[in-house]
Amino acid sequence: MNRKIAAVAAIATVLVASACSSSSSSDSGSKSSEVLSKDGKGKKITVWLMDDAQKQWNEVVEAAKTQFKNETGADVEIQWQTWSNYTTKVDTALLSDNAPDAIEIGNTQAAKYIDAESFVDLTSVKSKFDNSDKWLDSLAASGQSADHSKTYAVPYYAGARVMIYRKDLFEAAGVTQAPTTLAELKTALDKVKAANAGTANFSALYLPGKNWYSAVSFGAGSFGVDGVIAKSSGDKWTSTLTDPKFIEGISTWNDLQKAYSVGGTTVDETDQDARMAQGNIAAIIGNGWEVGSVIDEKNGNPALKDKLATIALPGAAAGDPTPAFLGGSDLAVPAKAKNAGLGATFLQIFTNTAQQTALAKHAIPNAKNLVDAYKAADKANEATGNAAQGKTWFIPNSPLWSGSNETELKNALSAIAAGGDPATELKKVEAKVVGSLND
Amino acid sequence: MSDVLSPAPETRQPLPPVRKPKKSKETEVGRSSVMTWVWNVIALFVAVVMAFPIYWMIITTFKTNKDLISQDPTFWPSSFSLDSYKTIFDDASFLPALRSTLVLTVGAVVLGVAVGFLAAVAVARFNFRGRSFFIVTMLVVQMVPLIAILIPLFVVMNNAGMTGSLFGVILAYLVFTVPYVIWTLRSFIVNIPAELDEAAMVDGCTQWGAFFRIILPLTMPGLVTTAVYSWIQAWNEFIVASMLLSTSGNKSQTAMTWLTFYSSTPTRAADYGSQMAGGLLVSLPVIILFVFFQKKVSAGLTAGAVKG
Amino acid sequence: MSVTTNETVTRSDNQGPAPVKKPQRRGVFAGGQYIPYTLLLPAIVVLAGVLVYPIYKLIDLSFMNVNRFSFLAHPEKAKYIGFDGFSKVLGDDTFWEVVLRTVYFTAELVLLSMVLGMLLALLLNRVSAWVRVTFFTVMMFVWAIPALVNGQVFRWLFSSNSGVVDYIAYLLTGDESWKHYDWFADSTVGLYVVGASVVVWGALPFLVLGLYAALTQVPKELMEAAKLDGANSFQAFRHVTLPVIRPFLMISTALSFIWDFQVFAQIYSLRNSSPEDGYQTIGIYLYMHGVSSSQYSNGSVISIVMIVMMLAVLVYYIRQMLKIGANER
Repeated sequence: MNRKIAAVAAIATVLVASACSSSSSSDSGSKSSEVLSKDGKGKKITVWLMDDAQKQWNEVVEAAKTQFKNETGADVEIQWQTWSNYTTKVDTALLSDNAPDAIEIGNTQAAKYIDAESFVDLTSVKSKFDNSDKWLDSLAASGQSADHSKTYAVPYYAGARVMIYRKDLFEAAGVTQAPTTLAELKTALDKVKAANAGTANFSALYLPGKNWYSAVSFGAGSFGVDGVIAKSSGDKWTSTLTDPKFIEGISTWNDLQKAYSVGGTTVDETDQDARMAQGNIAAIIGNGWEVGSVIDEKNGNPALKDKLATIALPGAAAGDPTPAFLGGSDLAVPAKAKNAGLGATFLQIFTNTAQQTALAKHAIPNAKNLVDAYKAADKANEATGNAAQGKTWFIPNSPLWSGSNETELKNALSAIAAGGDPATELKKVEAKVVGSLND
Repeated sequence: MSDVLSPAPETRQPLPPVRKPKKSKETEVGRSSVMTWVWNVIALFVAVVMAFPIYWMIITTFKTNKDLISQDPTFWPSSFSLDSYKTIFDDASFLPALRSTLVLTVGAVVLGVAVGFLAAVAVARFNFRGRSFFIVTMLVVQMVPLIAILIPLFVVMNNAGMTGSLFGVILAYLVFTVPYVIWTLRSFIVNIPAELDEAAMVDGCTQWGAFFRIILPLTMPGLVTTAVYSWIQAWNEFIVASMLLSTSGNKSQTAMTWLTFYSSTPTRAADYGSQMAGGLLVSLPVIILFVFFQKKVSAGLTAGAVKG
Repeated sequence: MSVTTNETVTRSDNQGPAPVKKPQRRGVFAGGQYIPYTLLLPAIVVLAGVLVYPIYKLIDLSFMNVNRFSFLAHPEKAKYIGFDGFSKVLGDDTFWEVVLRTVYFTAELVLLSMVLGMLLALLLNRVSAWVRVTFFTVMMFVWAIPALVNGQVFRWLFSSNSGVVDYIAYLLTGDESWKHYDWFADSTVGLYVVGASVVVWGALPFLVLGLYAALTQVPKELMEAAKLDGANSFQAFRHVTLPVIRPFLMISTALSFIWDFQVFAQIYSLRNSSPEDGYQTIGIYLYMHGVSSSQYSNGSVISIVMIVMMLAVLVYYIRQMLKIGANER
C-alpha cells in the first residue's frame, strides 16, 4: 500500500519536476547563432506553409527550395497545413522543443506570438529582405512589436474583399456602368431587384449575417479605418463599436441587407459561392479567389464564367471605396527552432522579388511595388489590388485578440441581421469583444 | 440471432391497469405474427429516418454540379460522377493518413484492452485495499474533459520526447479506453464462477494455466466488445492526434486530420463532395469491422454487464 | 512472478479491517497479496503517467493568471492569484446561463436517448430477423461516421437554403414558406431540436445495440411465468426485464450523462465553428473561453467546475455501482 503510494508519488514528482524545469528554459535557440545563416551543408529545415501554396503557387515554393539549396546546401521539407484548428497546432508547436524552422501564420494571429516572444527578432536583418521598405503597411504592422520598433514576422501575401457581381444580370436590368458610390450601388441594386422580381429567393446583393468582414468594412467606411472596433491608448483598449459613426456604417450594411439580401441571417460567408452558383444571387462581397469558386467545374456553375466582374466595394464618394479588411499571411522563425538562422534565410529567399513576382499571379504580393504585377496578371485582380492599395482596416492588434472575439462580433451582427437594433446589439456585445483585451 | 423468428411473447398495449391474463395460445401466435409485421414496419421506418443522413452523404459524393447548385435539393443524382472519389484517391496523403490511423488504433486497442483486462481481473477477483478507490477513480477519469487538459498533456508528452510519435498518441488514448475496458470486463470476469478456476487447478493446471484456459476464453465476448468500442473512439479521435502529431509533419497525420484539409478555409471554398467521400472511406474500415463482429458485439456489449 | 509461493501467504494479515460478511476471494488468484497490485500496475502507471501532471497542472493553473499565451510560454511571468480566477469566472452571469442551459440540454439528451434507445431495443426484440439485420447495419453506419462530419451533415440537412428538411416539410405541407424556414434563427429550436437530433442520432447505435443485447439476456421462462401470473406487459417489463438490464442501464446512463454534459464537436460543427450564445453549453464555453482564446487559467476553472458538477450528479450513481461491486464479490 505504502509502496504503491510512494511509487505513484515518485512518478508524479518526476513528471512535475521535469515539466517545470524544461518549460522555463525557453528561448535558448535564438541567440546561439546569427540571425541569417547560410551554413546548411547536410542539414534539413522544416517549414510550415498553408496548402494554398501547394495548390496554387507550388512552383514558387519549388523555386525557393532550389535557390535555398544552392545558396546554403540545406534541404527544405515543407509540411502542408490547413487553417482548421491551426491556432492550437501553432500554440503547441511553439512551446515544443522541435518547433519548425519557419512557419506561416495568419496576420490576425501574429500579435499573440510576438507578445510571447515566440519568434526570432528579425529587426537587425530586415533591410536584407527584398522590398522591406515597401511592404504593405498593414501587413508589415502585423509582424511588428506593439510599439512598431521591432520586426518579428515577414509579410507573405495579402487578400482583400471586393464586390463580385453578375454583369449579365446587372446589364439586363439596365445597369451598364459599374456603380462607384453607395448611392449608385443602391440605385443599381434596386433595378436588379425589380428586374428579377420573378425569381424565387432572389438576392440582389447577398450579405450573410455572420460575415463580419463585410459588415465591419461598412462600419469602417463611416467611422474611419483607424481604431475601428477598438482603439488603444497605451495598454488600454477602448471600444469604438458604439461610436455613432460606426453604428451608422453598420446600419448602412443592415439596410442593404434588409433591402437586397434574402436569407442567410444565421450563416457566414463560407457557402456564398455555391449559393451564387445557384443563380439567384446577383452580387456578393468576397475574396478575389471566390470568382473561381463560383464557376468551379464541380461545386460551382461553369456557365457563369464570363458573366462575373469584380469592383472595389463602392463607398460614400467616387474614388473612395468602402475600406476592405486586409487579410493575409506572415512568415516567421520560431524562437525554439533548431535551425533558426537557416529558417530566416529561407524566408529571405521565399519573399524575394523574384518569388513574390511569381506569386503575384495568384495572390496579392507583400510589397506595394509588386501589386502592379498582380493587377496585370488578370483583369479580375484589378479590383482586389486596388482594394488592398486603398484604405484597409484591421482587427485591434492586441495579443489577446482571438477567434472568440471574432465569434462574439459575428453573433452580434447576426442578431442585427435577424432584426435586432444595431445600437442595442453592439452595446450588448461591446464588453465581451473589447473587455477581454484589457485583462 | 438464432431465435429471431420466435414470436414476441407480449404485445405492447398501452397498459390498462388490469389486463385479463389468460389468452389461448392460438390467438397469441396469430396476433403476434400480425403484430410482428406492424413492428417490422415501424422498425423499418425508424431505420429509414436514421439512415437518411448517411444516404444524403452518399448521394452528395456522386452529385455533379448540376445537382449541387439546384435550388431545390435533389433526392437522386441526375447523373453520377466519381469525381469526388477520384479527388480522394489522387490525394497522395490519403493512404499514409489511413495507415497512421490504423497503427494508432490497433495500438490503442491492443494496449488498452490488455492493460484494462489485467486491471479488471484484479478488481473482479481480488479483495484488496484501495479497490473502491480505484473503481471510483476510473469513473472520475472518464469525467475529465479532454480539451481541458490538452495543453498540459502536450507539455508532458513534449518532455517525454513523445510528441510527433504515434506511441505518444496511443498512450493518450488509453485515458479514455482503459476505464471503459475495466468497467466492462470486470462484469464479465465476475460472472465466471470461481469454482471453474479451482477445478482447473485441481486438475493440475498452474495458476496461470487456469487463467489462460478458463478466464481468458470466457471473457472473449467482452474483449471483442470493448475492443470494438475502443476502436471507434480511437479511430474517430481528432483533436489530440492533431495536436500531439503537429510537429511530426505530414507523414504521421491521421485520417481525421487529413479530412480537415477538405473543409472550407479563409482561402478557399470547401469541396463537400470530396469531404463526404473522404469521410465515408475513412469510416469504411470501422463498418467492415462491425459487420465482421456484429454478432459478437451485440451479444457481448452487455453479456457481462447485465448480470453485473 | 513466482506462482508457488502465493498460495502459502495467509490472506488476512495486513488486509486492514477485513470485510467480514463477504466471502474470501476464490479462484485462480486466491492467495498472493501483491498480485492485484501487480495486475493494476500497468493501468496505474499509464493513467498516472498521462494524467497526473495534466490534472495537477489543471488545478495549478486555476489559481494562476495564465490568461494569455505569453504567460504559458514564459511561466515566470505568471503569478498566483488565489481564488480570484474562480470569483471572476463564477461571478459572470453568462457562465451561470451556460450552466443552466447545459443542465437542461443534458437532461433532454440523456432522457431522449435512453427512452428512444429502450423503445427501439424493445422494438427490435419483436421484429423479423431480416428487419433486425437491416436495422443493425444502419446503426453501424451511423456509429462509424466521425463526429466531426455529423454536425456538418446536419447543418446541411437543416439549412434554410436548399435544406432537405425544409424541402420535405414543404412537400408534406405544400406551404412555400417552409422552404426557407431557418432552424437556427431561434437558438431554442436550434439547440433543443436540431442540436439534440445530431447528438441523439449519434448516440443511439451504442445504446440500442447494448440495450438489445441486454434484453436478450432476459430469460424467456421468466417472462412466461410472469404472464402466467397475470402480469401485464408493463408489469412484466417493470418486474422481470428491468432488474436484469439494470446494470447496463446504469452504466449507459452514466456514460450518456458524461458524454452529453461535455458535448462539443457536434454542436460546434453544427454552428460552423461560431456557436451563438444560445448554443453554448459548457463544453463549447470551455473551448471558446479557455482553449481558443488562450485563457488557460479561466479554462481550468471552468473544467474544475464541470468535473465537480458531474461528480455531484454521479455520487448517487457511484454509490450504486460500488454496492453492485460489493455484492458480487
